[in-house]
Amino acid sequence: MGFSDKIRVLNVNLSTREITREELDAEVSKKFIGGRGAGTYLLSTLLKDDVDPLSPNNPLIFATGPLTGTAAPTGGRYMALCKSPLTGLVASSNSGGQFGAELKRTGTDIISIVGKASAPVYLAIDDEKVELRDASHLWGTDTHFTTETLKQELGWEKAKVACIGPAGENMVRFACIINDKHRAAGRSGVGAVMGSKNLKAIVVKGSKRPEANDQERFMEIVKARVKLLQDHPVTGQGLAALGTKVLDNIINEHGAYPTRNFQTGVFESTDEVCGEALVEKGYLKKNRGCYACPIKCARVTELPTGSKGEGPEYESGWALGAATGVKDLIAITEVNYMCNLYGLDTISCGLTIACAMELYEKGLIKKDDLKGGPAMVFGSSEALIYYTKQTALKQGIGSRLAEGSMRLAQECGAPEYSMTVKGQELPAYDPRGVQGQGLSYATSNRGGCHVRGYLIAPEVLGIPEKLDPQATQGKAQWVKVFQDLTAVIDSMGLCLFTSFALGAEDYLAILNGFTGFDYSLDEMMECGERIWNLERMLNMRFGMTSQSDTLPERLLKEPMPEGPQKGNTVRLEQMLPEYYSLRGWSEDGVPQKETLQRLGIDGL
Amino acid sequence: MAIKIKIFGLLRLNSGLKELELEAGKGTRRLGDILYELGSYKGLEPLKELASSNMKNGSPFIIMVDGTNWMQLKGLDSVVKDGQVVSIFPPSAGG
Ligand code: SF4
Repeated sequence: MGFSDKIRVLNVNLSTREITREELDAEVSKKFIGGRGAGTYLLSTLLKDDVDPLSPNNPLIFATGPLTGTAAPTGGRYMALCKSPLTGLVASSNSGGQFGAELKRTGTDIISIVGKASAPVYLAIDDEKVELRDASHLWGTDTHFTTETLKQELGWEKAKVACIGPAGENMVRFACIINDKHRAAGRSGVGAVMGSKNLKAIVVKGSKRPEANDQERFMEIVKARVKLLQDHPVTGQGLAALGTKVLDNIINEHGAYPTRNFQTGVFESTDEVCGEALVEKGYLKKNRGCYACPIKCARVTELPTGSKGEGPEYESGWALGAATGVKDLIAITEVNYMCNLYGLDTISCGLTIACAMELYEKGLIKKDDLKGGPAMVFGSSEALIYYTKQTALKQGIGSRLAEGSMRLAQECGAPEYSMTVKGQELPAYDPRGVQGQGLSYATSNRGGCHVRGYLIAPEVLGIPEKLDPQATQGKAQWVKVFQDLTAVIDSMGLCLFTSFALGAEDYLAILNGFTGFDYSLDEMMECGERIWNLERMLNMRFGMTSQSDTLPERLLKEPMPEGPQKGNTVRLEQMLPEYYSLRGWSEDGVPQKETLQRLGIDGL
Repeated sequence: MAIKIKIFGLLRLNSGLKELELEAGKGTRRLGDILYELGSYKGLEPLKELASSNMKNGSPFIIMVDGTNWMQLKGLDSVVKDGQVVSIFPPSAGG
């Protein structure tokens, strides 16, 4: 199957059961590349501004990029997009595994789903053949059972499955979509939107191998980049051996490892729960990779309790560990498995429980509120396990936790204890120790998130060069470039971890090599900028203002109490105005007309 | 007192060493000399190489003295005092 610049969309209306196909103008792929970019474009054309995220009118889009399913290293990613029930803004959650590549092999680039089925259904796609089938028998079952059962009942042994668990069915605001059992389109509640549509799963089976028009030349480009990844100490060795959890100690020694709901940046039990411990305790069995990935960072683990699964990765291990003060690696790993089975985002789950623990500590959640459950105290693995389950099933206080920490803390009259940006829980880096990351969090188009501009790379890890993490000068420019390049990588269909070894020129070579687009470096980066601005405009249509380009009060006002970052706060006010101006936005953070015209999105 | 060394990541897995203490001599030591000495342990050989490199393009190793990155100090010429903690990571990243 050769590359086509006309993005092939499969439209599914669950209310009418109508299934149609369309192709987007070539201009769309040229301007937005595909994946996250083309998905956002499609979202912007389909969405009414005031749509309730959990109503049938909220579209749910699965978007692959041009490189998804190809031989390009890590070319297996897809993006799930919709209006987020957690933030009320754009949700676009990326996932790896095999599902995205298989979807591409059916000959479809994007699935766009609207409406709501009258009873639970799943979507079965076998190349051109598309069918909506009854899923009543799967409703209430976990993601592994659903995945296995569907493959069996269809007799499609090699099919790939993306599905929701009970958390998505129950519309927990941070439910995720799980594909290939262990990979998650994790954030912003995309799983809740799938649940609101009564859509349990999508099964794909394809036979078409995507190839470049000049496949031989493309393979040369690919081989050279695979070699770069293999020869690099991080992507060739480090990530395979220790996974992302190599970061636990780095971030903790740096003093920015958020502990007990961001009350401090040093976790005294890091040694018990770190990536090295996962290996030394023998829980790590082997590493595994997503489609076409030479890096293979995933953790295949087994516990002395007999439980098996994948993970925890750095973010999940932190959210369920240091964030809640839990230092029992077995409990952390078990809850990580539970989250995958229920279909819960580990970051929001852990940090929402952490927020509840602080509210309990402060007496704002009372013992009676727990309805007989274990004391909601920091460090309690019993509480972590119990309330994760309650959240997924919306039982007891779980129905309040299922709303996310922002709504929970507001309801308790103490919004300051919710460690969120734009309503989404922050990830595993305390920005009081990494100023640029603070700006990146505050301006992220999907709220608290580390994968929209990973400033940890230059500020802490020294990639591509070492910056002073406490400097604010020049950070706005770094954030902008990282945000734009990340949008490009996401839209191509590649994994962000390649960027530890590859630079913008490498992505340009891969993108041009496959699509034949002949972008210049500037044009490619402008695609990223265009996507960023389109997301921003969409958020503004949803009612967002620059007021929400901020951080929780704790990070701006409470000095870090101890450790290497002692005394520091985030000096956001020193970076934000420069960021707006570099972006071509007004002082109020609104993209200027000239900026939108330059990017060719003024009409959208 | 002494200088406390913490070893992480692949260096720890390869050497089996987690923490050790080095005498501080006259109260301070040059970081490069510490790395050179550590490089004689099995599994920590890359540190010897690092100590002898010219560091023209910086270094992918992440080394902190009391939590401050050595690139914010003076690299191999950073001065480590008695009682300080040196944390050593091989080139690493995640997310
Ligand atoms: S680096 Fe890790 S997350 Fe990325 S594609 Fe490879 S295995 Fe998957």
